[in-house]
Amino acid sequence: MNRTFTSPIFVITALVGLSLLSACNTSPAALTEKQKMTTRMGDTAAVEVVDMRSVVRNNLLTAQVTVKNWGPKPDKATGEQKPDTNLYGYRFKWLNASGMAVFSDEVWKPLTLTRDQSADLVGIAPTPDAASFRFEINQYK
Amino acid sequence: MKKFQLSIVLLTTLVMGACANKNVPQQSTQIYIPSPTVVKYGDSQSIETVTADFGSTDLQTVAETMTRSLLQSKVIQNSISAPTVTLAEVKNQTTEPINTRMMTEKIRTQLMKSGQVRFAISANEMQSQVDETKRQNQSGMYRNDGTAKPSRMEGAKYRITGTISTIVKQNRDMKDIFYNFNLNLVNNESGLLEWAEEKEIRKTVTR
Repeated sequence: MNRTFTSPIFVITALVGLSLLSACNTSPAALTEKQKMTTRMGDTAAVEVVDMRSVVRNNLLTAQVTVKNWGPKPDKATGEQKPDTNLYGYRFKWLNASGMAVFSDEVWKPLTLTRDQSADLVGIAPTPDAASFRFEINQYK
Repeated sequence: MKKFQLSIVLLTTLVMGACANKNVPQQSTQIYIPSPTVVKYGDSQSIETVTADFGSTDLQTVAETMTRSLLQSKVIQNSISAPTVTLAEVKNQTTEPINTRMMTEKIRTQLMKSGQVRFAISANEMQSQVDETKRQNQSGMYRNDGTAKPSRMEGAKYRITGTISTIVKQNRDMKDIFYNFNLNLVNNESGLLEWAEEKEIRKTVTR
């Protein structure tokens, strides 16, 4: 037997390599349906998408997204609350059954939420062609 | 004494030098060099907060909210075919100079794009319709079979009317503007108000 394969250095290197490979193989935490349907731009971590639902009302898809603004996290060193200065905007993107965008882009609407406040944001599809939606949120200031 | 003479010579030299500087030719016209500017395109849908006056975001939000609500109304959705509608110009009841024609046209375009309603021309556009029909029929320049015949216009079943109004309050440090936009759908035959929607916008400016 070749001594190279039985040497402790080789065994340790092989074990480390195998463990690294297995680490790469494990997939990251699967995205939830809410995360898949939400597009975030800028620093929007303080705004949580709590709930998402949709219904076809009078032939038009109506979406409702519940969001909550937790505000910025307190300072790690002092524990002081930081002022909530970020301003956010949101809009809905409407997709047809094939996943193609229908209608032109919506206007970004200001999200007027103070710290710890939540809101139900309702969007109505512009045409009966819309079969699903995406929720987009951005930090504009 | 020598020191005194030396100081006199130095002083004279300085005075002469100062006078000599005056003779340096100076430019009679100054060239204005403007400060450098940057031109770039922006997202037409982004949130605009330059001032608290009625802006593009307000216009787009109002048009979007109103049209979506109208399209979802039973009057529109329960119609067998796309109902004919006419849109009167939105009335500006604020103290601000708001381009209500732009708002009216934006609402109409959004409704047209949905394919759920058809628009008959409004009272404002009637004159151009009459002029064109007259031109085709009375100028003697057109073939008879190709002209737009008079008395063939389609009347609108519904009309849309709208108003925008404000409440403005301010003190030394703060200004609060509350916009209220109303849109109504009226049945032209019965005179019934079939649908109404409002959109409220609050904007504040602080020093």
